[in-house]
Order: sequence, then C-alpha cells, then structure tokens
Amino acid sequence: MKNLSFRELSALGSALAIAFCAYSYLPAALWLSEEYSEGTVHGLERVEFVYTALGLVAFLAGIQIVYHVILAILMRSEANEPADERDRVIGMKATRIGYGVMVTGIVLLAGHLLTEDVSGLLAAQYLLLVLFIGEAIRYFAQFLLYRLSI
Amino acid sequence: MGKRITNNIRSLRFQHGEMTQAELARRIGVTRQTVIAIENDKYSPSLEAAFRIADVFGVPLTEVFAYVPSERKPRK
Repeated sequence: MKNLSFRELSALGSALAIAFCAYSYLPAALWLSEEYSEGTVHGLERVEFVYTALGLVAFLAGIQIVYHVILAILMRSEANEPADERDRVIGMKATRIGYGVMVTGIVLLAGHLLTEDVSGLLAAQYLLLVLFIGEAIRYFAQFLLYRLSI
Repeated sequence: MGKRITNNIRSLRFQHGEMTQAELARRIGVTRQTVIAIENDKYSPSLEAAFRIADVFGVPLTEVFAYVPSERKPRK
C-alpha cells in the first residue's frame, strides 16, 4: 500500500466503496423486491425502496468525499498535480471497459425483461446492480492499468 | 520478432546534474508517476512529450528513445 500513488489509491478506494455499498444493499434489496412483487411482504411501501436507494447513493457519495479529502491531505503534492496524457489514456481505457460491461448488462437486462415477467421494482434493482458493477469495474480497471502497464 | 521502445532517461537525468523525476515531470508538464512509467518502459509517451523530454536534455530524440527488438523470455 505504501508505494501506491494518489491516483491508484483514488481508483482503488472508489472501486472498493462501490463494491462494498453494492454488496451491503443489493442482495437484500433484490430479495425483498422479489418478495414484495409477489405480495409476500407486508408493511413495506414501494417508496421505501426508492428512499433506500437514494440513501445508498448519498452514502456512497459521502464516503467517497471523505475518503478523497483524507487522501488529498495525506498526499497533497500528488493530489494537486493536474491530469496528464497518461491519466487521460488510462481514464479512456477504463471507461471503455466499465461502460462496455454496463452496456452489456443493460442489453442482457432488457432481454430478460422482454422474456420474463419482471416487476418494475425488481427491474430497477437489477438496473442499479448493473450500474454499480459497471462503475466498480471501471475504477478497478483504472487501478489495474495504473499498476500493471501503460 | 516484435519491437519495443526503450529509453535512457535515467542516465540522461544523472548526466544533467542528477535531475529529479519530479523536476523532469514539471519541465515536460506531466506527473512524476508518468515519468516513472516512461523510465520503466511501461508507458510510451506521446510524440509531443517525447520531443519535450529531448528538448529538456538538449539532445536529439534518438538519443533519448530507441526502437529495439523485444527480448523474449525463454520458456521453462
């Protein structure tokens, strides 16, 4: 960990934060959405899922801000360096990988929605899952590209 | 056989008053991490950055970078 640069730590932290949030929320949310759609869960309103998802995004943004502020204080000189050509190349490559995964996931989800009878609530949770996986892969790819090559 | 780009930036830095990676990075307008990646042959800079590096050391581009056959590691 000691020889990781600011940008490597930034990408790794973002990937882990997204993975952690997705892992803590989505399995339970998917299960509850399925049960709710089948009418086996009572005392739960549809809007509560929306609030929880919004809360999750706000929590993710919060921990990302705190993490990056701490990182910037600890590695002030590196944090102040503007992005250069290598950063931009790595950013583009990682975006291509992450968004490739995201688009594939969305296409698969669309196919699933066309062939199966899936409720809107469950579809929204699946969409959130795809978005989280795509973003986590984008940041993780960024970290690996910084670490391994180019 | 494939080819790869190598460089002798490290020795040029040494010859130029032991210039630090941070100083070289500042002068060519990239981050220190990028200079480290270039020195270790992990990243091939853009043509413009390559010319800037040569310009900092006051030498032609061919004295900084070389295009050499890549060595294949023998299989065990």
